[in-house]
Amino acid sequence: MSVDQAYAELVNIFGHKNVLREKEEIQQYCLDIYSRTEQKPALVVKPESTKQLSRLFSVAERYELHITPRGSGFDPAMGSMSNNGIIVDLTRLNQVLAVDEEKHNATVQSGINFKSLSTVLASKGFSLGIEPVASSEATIGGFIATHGVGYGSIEHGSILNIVRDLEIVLSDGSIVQTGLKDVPSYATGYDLTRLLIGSEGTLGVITETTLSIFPKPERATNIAFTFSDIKVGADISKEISRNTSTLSSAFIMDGSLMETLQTGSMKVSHEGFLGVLRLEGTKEVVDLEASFTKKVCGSPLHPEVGNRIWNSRFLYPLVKARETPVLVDDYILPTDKNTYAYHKLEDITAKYGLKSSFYSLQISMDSNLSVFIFYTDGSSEAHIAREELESSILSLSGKPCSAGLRRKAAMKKASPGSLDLLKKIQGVFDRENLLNPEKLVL
Amino acid sequence: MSITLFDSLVGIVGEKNVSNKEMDLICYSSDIAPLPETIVSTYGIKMPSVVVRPQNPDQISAILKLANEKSVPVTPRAGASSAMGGCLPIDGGIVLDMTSMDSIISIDEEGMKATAQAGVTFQKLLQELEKRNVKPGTYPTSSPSATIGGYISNGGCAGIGAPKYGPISSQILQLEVVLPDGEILLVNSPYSSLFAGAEGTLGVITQAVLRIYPIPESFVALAYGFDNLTFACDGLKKLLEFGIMPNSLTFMDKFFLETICELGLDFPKHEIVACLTLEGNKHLVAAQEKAIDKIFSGGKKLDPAFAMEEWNRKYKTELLIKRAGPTIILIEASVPIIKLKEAVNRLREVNEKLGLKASFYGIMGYGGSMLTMPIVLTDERMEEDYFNTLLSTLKMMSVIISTGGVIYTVGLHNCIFMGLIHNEKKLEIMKSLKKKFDPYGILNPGKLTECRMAWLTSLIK
Repeated sequence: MSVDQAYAELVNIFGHKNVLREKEEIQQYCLDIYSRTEQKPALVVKPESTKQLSRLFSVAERYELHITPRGSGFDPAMGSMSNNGIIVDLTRLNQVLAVDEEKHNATVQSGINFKSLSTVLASKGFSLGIEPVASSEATIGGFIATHGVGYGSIEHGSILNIVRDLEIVLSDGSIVQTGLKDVPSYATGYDLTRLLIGSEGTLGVITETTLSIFPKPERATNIAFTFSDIKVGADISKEISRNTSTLSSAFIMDGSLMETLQTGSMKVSHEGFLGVLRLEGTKEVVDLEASFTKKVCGSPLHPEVGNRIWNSRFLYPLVKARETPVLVDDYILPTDKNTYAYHKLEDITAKYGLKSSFYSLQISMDSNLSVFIFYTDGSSEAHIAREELESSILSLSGKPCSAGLRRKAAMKKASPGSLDLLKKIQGVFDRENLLNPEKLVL
Repeated sequence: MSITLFDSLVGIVGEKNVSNKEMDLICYSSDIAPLPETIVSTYGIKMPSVVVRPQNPDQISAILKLANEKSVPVTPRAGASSAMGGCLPIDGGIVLDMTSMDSIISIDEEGMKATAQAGVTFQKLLQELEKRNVKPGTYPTSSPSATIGGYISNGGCAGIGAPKYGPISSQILQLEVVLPDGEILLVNSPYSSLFAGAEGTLGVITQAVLRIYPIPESFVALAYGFDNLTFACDGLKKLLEFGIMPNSLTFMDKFFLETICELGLDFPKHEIVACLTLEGNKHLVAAQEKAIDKIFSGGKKLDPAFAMEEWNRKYKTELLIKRAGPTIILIEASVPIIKLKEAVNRLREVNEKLGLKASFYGIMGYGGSMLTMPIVLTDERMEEDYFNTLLSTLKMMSVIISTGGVIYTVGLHNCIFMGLIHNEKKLEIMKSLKKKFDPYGILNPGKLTECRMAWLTSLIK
């Protein structure tokens, strides 16, 4: 009953077409991209401006409906799902507000996806520095809310180092600018901007951000190679990252993911693994380091293959091409534990008679973002396998990339103090306890 | 002071780690920038009643619980190398001297991380890391005295390594923090960022795990002299445009250079001298040097021997000028490099009107900013002169802020500028955070979110 009244009030604010409640309208919001588990929100709203969004909260509070912000739904841990609450679909807030070519920053709305933003930046000779692994359709806001790392992280680190400023809406409806656009504000009081990064929609709704942008590199070279033993690939990656200055991405995938790359003239079939190294920088240095890199790799594949793989680097389309339901988990792992983690995946896959894929991207000198995929027919084995893998990875000092709803316990195990801290802070930001109360903070 | 507080503290940390000797109390009531007595009394800065040197986080936890119980303020302090008054115990009470917690716990060259207690100085960390062929990312020019806990607390984002490796907050993997209620937390990145720049008002940092880096194959020190501020600033802007991030970059203006030369040191005479260091593998450094020669073609490349000397003096240059003093008042502001020329010109104009001579010294920071330090010579013994100079420097800070710069650490002296930099809602959130963590206001009171100097604002308008 109260949902009906909330619906009517929200229609007044957001307009008829921007408030969804019918089964077929909200179907796509009941799942995230990978999830096998459904959760049904009571309502979905699609704000068209920050101001409009700020009016949502008093309605939500009156009808005791929780709010879950959502970008494109690429969090594999059910972070963007809601059980009987309101999902705020931010993808209508997708404008580039300003690109400052002199100050090297761009101000954008949080619902813009990486694809659109990089197109705009490229037209002005800039790039964003890092990109998510899952998909270029992931939103900037979602990437910030989950402390994203990805392609380019070897050079730039996490999104933490790219974000200069945020605009957020708090649950009392107030709109707050957390940082300063033009100058770093790490030594001017509490760093509210960084506090929001990785808060997974529990402190405020991110609506706008100013990001550092980088001149497009003069030269970018992709070098692909294959290898039979994962240890060999890890050693090559390590040697190259320690001896070059232009390595911006290094990733490997196992044979089963490679299979999905077998399209057209692209033949990269191999029993073992495929590795891709991308160097970016000035012509002179990249060319020098590329020849060193090729030597270390042994026998690199044809340059065209490297470029093709780079162009199809996003994981979601690769996984989706298999047309099998999947269970996906991503973890940050110390590089020296990554090989063990892969063998663990192999063992567990064999033990339960499943099929699986492995993908791993180096994100710093000593850590990797590794993605473990189980292909499943919906049987319970895959879920058991995933849980078993999770506990192995946690014991290898791995950490889930996000907590969401599903991986709260894992996150709590990996960084208990951090969550205690967030819990303390939450009430300061979200006084009404409206924002994602069932997420992240236990 | 109450006997029981002293006794309770002895019970927690042992007799030899507690002192209420007058000499100690005097030493612990100022930082590297001594204040004249009138300022101390006008600001209402009290002497501490006791100095405690905790040895571990459990002791700090017990001290903070005691302080809550007895409503005694606690002010954390380490190297005291910031001149912004952040470690002054303005309400008296307990000074928590962190310098005894100075062990390096582990250096992991495989995992590229080092774990050290908060009281370890950067100099010590550098020495130990160097033995294993690794180095920290960003570290302050006050490394001989500045500690890891102090630099993190002050949100270090300018210094050696900052342009290349980023703010210290980006290099933290984990912090151990004792909260005001005594709870000991291990907080990982990114959530650890809350304590970076919190200046010891939300918790006491006791240990940090920091990212470390291999010592690069190649290192070069370069220096360029410019006869015109515009050429120098344009060069710096171009450096950003090309995305070339030096390991360090300092700049000195002619007043700074003259003052140093008057002390008998041989510095090149130019309007601006910029010294920088590059590091990386051989061909990167060679390519960058070539590019920089072109970018700085508006200036003259100086003798590499001078550049190297300047690098070796990196912890001393900004203090050399103190000899000309006897006292210096300096302001520290982060200025976007694209606004540097405007800021320096406007400051010089204002200074001319005020009859002040400020020397400019700058250290490049992260994110296209320059930590800009106009330094004014004065004498703390001539109190009226000192006070007027102090007011003038506050005016200078207002000018910098109106040009797009911000304060570099809040401490005690910069509280009055918080309202000019941040919006009201943001300040309100900061206050609520403080209240949430420290409901009785016992940890480093009178700083950051709490401004006791509001009356000064009317004097600097």
